[in-house]
Amino acid sequence: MELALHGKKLIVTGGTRGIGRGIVLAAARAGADVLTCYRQESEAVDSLTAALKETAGDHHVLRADVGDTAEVDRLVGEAKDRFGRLDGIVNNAGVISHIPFAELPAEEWSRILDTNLTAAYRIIQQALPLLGAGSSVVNIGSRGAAAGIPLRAHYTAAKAAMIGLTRSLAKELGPQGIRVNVVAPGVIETEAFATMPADRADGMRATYSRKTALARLGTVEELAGPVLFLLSDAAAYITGETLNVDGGI
Amino acid sequence: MAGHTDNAIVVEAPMDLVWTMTNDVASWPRLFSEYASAEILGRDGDTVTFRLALHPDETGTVWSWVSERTPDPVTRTVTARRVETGPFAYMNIRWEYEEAPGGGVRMRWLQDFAMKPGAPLDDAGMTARLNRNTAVQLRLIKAKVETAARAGRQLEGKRLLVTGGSRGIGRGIVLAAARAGADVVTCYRTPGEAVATLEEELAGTPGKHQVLRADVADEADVDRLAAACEASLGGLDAVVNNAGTFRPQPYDELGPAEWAATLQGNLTATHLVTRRTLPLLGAGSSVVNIGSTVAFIGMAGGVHYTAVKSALVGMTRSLARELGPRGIRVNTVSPGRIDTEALDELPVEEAERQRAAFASFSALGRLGTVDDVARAVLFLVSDHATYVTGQNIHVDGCV
Repeated sequence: MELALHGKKLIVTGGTRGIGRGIVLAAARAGADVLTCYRQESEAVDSLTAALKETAGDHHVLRADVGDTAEVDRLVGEAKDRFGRLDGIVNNAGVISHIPFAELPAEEWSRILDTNLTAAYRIIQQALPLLGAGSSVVNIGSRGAAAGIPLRAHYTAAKAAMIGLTRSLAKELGPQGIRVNVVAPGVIETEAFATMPADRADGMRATYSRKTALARLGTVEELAGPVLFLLSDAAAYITGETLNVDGGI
Repeated sequence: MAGHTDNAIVVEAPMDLVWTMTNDVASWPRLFSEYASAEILGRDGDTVTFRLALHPDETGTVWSWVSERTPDPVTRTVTARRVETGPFAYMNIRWEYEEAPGGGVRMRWLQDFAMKPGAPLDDAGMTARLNRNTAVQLRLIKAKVETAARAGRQLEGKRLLVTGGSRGIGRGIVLAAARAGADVVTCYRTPGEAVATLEEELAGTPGKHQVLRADVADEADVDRLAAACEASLGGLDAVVNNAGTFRPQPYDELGPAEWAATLQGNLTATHLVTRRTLPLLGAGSSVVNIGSTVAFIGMAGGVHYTAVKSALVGMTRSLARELGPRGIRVNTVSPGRIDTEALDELPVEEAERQRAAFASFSALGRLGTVDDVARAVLFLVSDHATYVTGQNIHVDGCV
């Protein structure tokens, strides 16, 4: 089926790498105008900007640290100036660290919560005047949150919280015609696998292939498909839902 | 010198589709961006007389006029003229369609006109305006017709079995899949008008479709159904286990026979069909089981129903693990309250009461449509869901 997003105006946070980049490119190719953000300058930023210039539509790649409320507010202001309205938001930006719980510092707990969860609260709230009936918010959660992962209690706490946020927002914003859903990725092969030590990458691929029904990791395109489906009018009666894209892990 | 415009565009779509979509005057407000309304006033043979109105212009004026047009499907031309000429002394229109050398259809719009003395624009001014507007409308129409053409091909070549497809959600899935280009086999238990009208609709939709009588709770019937799929389609790309029935029953009165029949007709049927059609499913194929949101919430009078619908979710999880290595995905779609013809069969007041009550249960404040459910099923069957398996997707507006 064609996931048509012709003329839809979207914000996708954290769209220069990994899953976010896959979503930005897929949405742009599906006809949407996409505004995305990044925290630090990098080659990924430049190459995404170049790729979007080659793609029809009104796209923007802006610097913003969504872990900072003031920057989130500025980002939404940019969307208002450039687009005038929003048809969709994908809260994808997120950070992760591996720390034994006994040693988890308060600042790291806060940093993870601020970037993964608080950013979503702030963007959706500030974007409310721009979101009309038929608009759609997709929060990127994590399949790991329901399963639990040692050394990531702070991360899975934030990602699981996305679900509670999503359910209540679906009920509160439903009467305005705004849908809110979670896409919870399993293990997706991103460019991060290319930069980690080869034997670690192979080890992870083997472990997670064993754990999934489809016996493999997912691709960023396979994650983008369900996100675009939920952003589109094809999912007009789906809200408050968590869609796991995990190969049957 | 009179006014003349000549604009053309190539639409990458079959001639029939381009012709039908652009000549459906009643749909022009959705096809063009400039028309606020198109009202058919009368027909005489192939000639249609109609009133068009534009959206209000910069001064708030609504330009409106009556035209008549005569399409000729043989020569693929349309001649038209304004009957109410307004500021025009006359306005004659001609559309020509021909197969383009590189593929697609070249659609050419010609206008010949003259302005009345004292009209707000002269011939040259109106020529410029018409050329500008026409270019915009042609590009928009091209995009819409091409999107429709792609939609009609998206499941092209895919072969689906949908059980219980003569009514309600099943019927919605069958028709959505067929219109997206799939070959669809479906079955029903009880013959009747619903079956007859479904057969007619499918006969009018391209594809190798079949509507067969089969009770999927019966092993022999399931065997016959699977054999028919193999004979006519060679194999299957998707099986949608939708057939199932239940009657509300207070738990005290839920006897063993009713319990067993509900299990057999909903859960065992899904097992019989899935197991028997497995040899027809290859890598890349998928199974979709139709559950229900009430399994998640619970429903008084529906203990037997929510038991079987919940069981389907567990079945889906294990089937996904077992069939995953073969490249077969298995998922559940759990609809909420969907507006189907079952509601129309109730007395009007009761139907209205139920519709209002059910609409208020969901955050979106409305019942779902069969299309809402069908689109979720088609998504799961498509290449956009290749990493989605073992899942239960609620299509319920959030209850």
